[in-house]
Amino acid sequence: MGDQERGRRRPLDDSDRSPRSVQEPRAKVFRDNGPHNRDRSEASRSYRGASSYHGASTSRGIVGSTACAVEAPSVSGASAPSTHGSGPNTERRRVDRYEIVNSRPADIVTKRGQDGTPIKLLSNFYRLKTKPQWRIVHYHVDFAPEVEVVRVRCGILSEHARILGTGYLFDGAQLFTTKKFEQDVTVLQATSKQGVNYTITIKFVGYISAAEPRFLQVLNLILRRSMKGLNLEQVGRNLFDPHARIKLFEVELWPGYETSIRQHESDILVCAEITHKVMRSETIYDILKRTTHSDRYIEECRLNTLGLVVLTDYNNKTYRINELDFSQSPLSTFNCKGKDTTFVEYYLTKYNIRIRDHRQPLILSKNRDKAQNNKANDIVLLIPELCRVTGLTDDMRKKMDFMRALANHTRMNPGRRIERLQTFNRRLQTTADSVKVLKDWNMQLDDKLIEVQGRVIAPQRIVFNNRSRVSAGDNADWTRYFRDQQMLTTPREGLDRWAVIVPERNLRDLKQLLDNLHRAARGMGFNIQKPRESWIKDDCTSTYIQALDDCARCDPKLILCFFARNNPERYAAIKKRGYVDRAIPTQVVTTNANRNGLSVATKIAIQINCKLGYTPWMIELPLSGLMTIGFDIAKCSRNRSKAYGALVASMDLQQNSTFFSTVAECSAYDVLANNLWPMILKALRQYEREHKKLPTRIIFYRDGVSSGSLKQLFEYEVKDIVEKLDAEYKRVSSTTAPMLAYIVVTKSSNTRFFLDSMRNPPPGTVVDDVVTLPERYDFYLVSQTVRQGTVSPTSYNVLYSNIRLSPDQLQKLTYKMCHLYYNWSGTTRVPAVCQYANKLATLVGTHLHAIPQCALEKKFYYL
Amino acid sequence: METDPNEMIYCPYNKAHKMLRKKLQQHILKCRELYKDEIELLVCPFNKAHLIPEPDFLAHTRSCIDRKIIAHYQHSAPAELTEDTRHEKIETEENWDDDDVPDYNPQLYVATANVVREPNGMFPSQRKAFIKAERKRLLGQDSDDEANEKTQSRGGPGKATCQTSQRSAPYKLPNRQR
Repeated sequence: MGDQERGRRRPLDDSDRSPRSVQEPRAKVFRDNGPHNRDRSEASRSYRGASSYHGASTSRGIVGSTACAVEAPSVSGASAPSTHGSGPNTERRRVDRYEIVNSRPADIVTKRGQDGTPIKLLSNFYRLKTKPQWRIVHYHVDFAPEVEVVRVRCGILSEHARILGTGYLFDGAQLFTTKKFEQDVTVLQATSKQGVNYTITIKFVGYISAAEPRFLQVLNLILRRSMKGLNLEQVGRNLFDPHARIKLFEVELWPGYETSIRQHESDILVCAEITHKVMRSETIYDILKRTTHSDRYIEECRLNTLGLVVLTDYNNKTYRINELDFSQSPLSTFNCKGKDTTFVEYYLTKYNIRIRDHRQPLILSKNRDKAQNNKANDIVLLIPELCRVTGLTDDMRKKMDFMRALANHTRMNPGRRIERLQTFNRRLQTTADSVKVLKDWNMQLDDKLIEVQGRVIAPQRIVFNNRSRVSAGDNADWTRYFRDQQMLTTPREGLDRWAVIVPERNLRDLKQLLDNLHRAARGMGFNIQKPRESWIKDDCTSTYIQALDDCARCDPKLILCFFARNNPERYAAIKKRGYVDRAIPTQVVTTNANRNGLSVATKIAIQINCKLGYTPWMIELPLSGLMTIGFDIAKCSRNRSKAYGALVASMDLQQNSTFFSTVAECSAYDVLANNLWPMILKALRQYEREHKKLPTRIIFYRDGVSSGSLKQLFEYEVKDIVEKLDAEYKRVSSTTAPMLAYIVVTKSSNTRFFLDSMRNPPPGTVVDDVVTLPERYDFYLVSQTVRQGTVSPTSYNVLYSNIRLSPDQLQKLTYKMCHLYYNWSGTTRVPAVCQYANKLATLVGTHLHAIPQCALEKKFYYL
Repeated sequence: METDPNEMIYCPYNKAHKMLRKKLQQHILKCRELYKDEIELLVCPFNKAHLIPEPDFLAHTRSCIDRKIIAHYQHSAPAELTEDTRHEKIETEENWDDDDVPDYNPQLYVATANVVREPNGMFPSQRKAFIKAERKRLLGQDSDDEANEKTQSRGGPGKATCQTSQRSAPYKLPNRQR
């Protein structure tokens, strides 16, 4: 049931990934599991990870320190944060800044490329026109007795607003003001609305200057505070607008904003993105109430609720339901600070919530608190009435009209997205409460989206057989060329020895399919001969497997299984038998394939060609001896503690265009790959075997890591690879040292680009300035075409490079590599090797649950 | 067999360090740095997370559960190579084979640019020193933060500079920022 449990947690817009792969048989060929080029507004939230690997100690030449004695505003005496006071200061710093920028040597290596057609883009960032120029004082605040709810804490502290200065910021524990108290520890008294006396201890922590990352945190806090002025509500990490909610069937859709302020290439910018949250008004109590009629009440309740993730409004936290406890009720007592308290009393005193039904069971949830150690195995007890269900159920996902309605709202085209962003900006700059906060801190947002200069890499040429090359065109789609182009390589003697397994009553469908297949393949220079047909009486999984075993005896090159209907279990069984037990590529086709006649047959023919290990098309690659590697990890659907890492490497792409793949089991708890090197080594040995030398240049595309763990990634994976590569090249006494570029691929960034305020940028658009990060060698590339919604650019971060290529060349190479995913005759949003690695890892994780045979490693059996 | 995600395990460097399974990798990175002069552990060739003291190393390499990555590879037949996957060399207008362009190093750039840098993955003492150096770099030398910090009780100036850093202060868990 792992799948279903996972399904509930899946973010809304992620629907284009995992669920499809479960239905693989139906999702035959291209349409569904090709490029993941839908708009995904949900994105990763980790934003900590700028990298500084060379440590703090590397050359920190003090440049531009000519400006003497920068005056900071007076410290302890300053009572009011006045903008005027810091006026001269700003001037001085500006001068300073100018000098620093100029002092860079003119011939310094840059990460900006020059090739391609310049293109003017808008991006979803706002400049900060002004920001606080004075120093911020940082305090830590403690309450005695302790207060759980942040809102109450803020309320208590607000009694002393006068002492704290007008524009103080308080997030529940940290206090930021412009005012320095005389003592380092200040103690205040306050009384809450309930009449409880509190002692507030305010401890001085330090000053925050504009030169440190904490300053950015404060800016984020200020923005967040001012957004609260728009009456937004925080759910999870982001702010949502319950007033603008949209009712859709049984759920509500809350529009919200995701903002973050951080240091970008040369300025501090505000990134703003529109997100949506699906809120279900249902509580667990409602679900329990609905199941009352059944005779097997308790089992039924468990079945309906276990594994669900719930949100408790009072503390805004999510929990997973591990168990229901029918022996307890809200009237049960527990030990609260040495005193036995009932849940009813507890919630009343602590959160001021009155529990209505005193006879409901309790929910048990394992504590997932990061506070680790002894707390890890604690059980949290929750009240069903207060637990709101989150996410979509599988039932909802199956409802096409519902999902379509949802997509209608979440998938916005560029014009609408810009409009929404501008509305947000306007509201922020006109709502009195928000303006006040921003003004207090002297922060001013630009009212226009930032303009970015991008470049469009010219359309690539696709190489087919007979030396014919066609341009991929502006939309990067070459589907139509298959009508008159032949595939680059096909087996010399064609597909001569192969078998088909078909239920007897589908014989007619099969004939139609084979006819189409034959016709389509012949047009592409691929000779598909008559298969050995194996008729089966019924469509039980066991019958299929038996027939497959029979067919396998005559060593076929491929076995095609004809399904009347899509069936995930049967699909998994066939794949498993074909890839894990034997080493025969299998192809599953359903009757649906016939509906679209020749076009689907074309795609199946291409796929079969790939599964045999041949190449439908290639791009022009101006580098010889290049190996590109893609790596991705997918979790095992059966065993939560397991995951599978897949590595796909291209061999030489100039004369013998083939790919090598390997899979290894790894732990699901590890973000970083523990057994990457053995896998790379296999790929290197294969390359050596085929080309009698090691690759000259290696590009490693790493998918599946968040930007938060970049530093660890560098320490753990990159250093290791570099070291071992060197050793390996020495071992074979190679004349050249290895040249490696290690690139982290991130699909889910919040960055968006717009063309002409209403269109998506064309495929091939590269942006490597302004919105990129200074501490990285990174660029954004829009490689895919989207028909609906806003395109989301893929971010590439060159974590390590000694590949001796210019940024232009790296960008172009990456774009070229996006043309080689053979399940899709267009560009994908990540380099093909990544897409393959993802496909392979998913196949193994959801269907095979075991490592496939090595004999298949040079074939695209996982397509 | 399903292992519990909340299972607690011990650091291979110091048995007093106990953590959740998923924190192990991060933790090893820190302890590896911390104990690099004191404890030497060998890295298992099959799984980087396996750190083994030398005496047990050979035994481990024989019994490692991840040995199958290589064993599977060695024992099963490799893919047959066919000649007909070869094709005529795809000629291109450009040739980058002999290009030799210096690689961009963002660290060199940010060291002098007017940008706020993040002290990621540093030990607390290093981080403090880093932030101080950053203030100096960006705000000029005579920023009076210095003077103020001297009056504070915590952490005198120049307690740990980056150069001497690695083990100058006893290791503490970094303060949680949020």
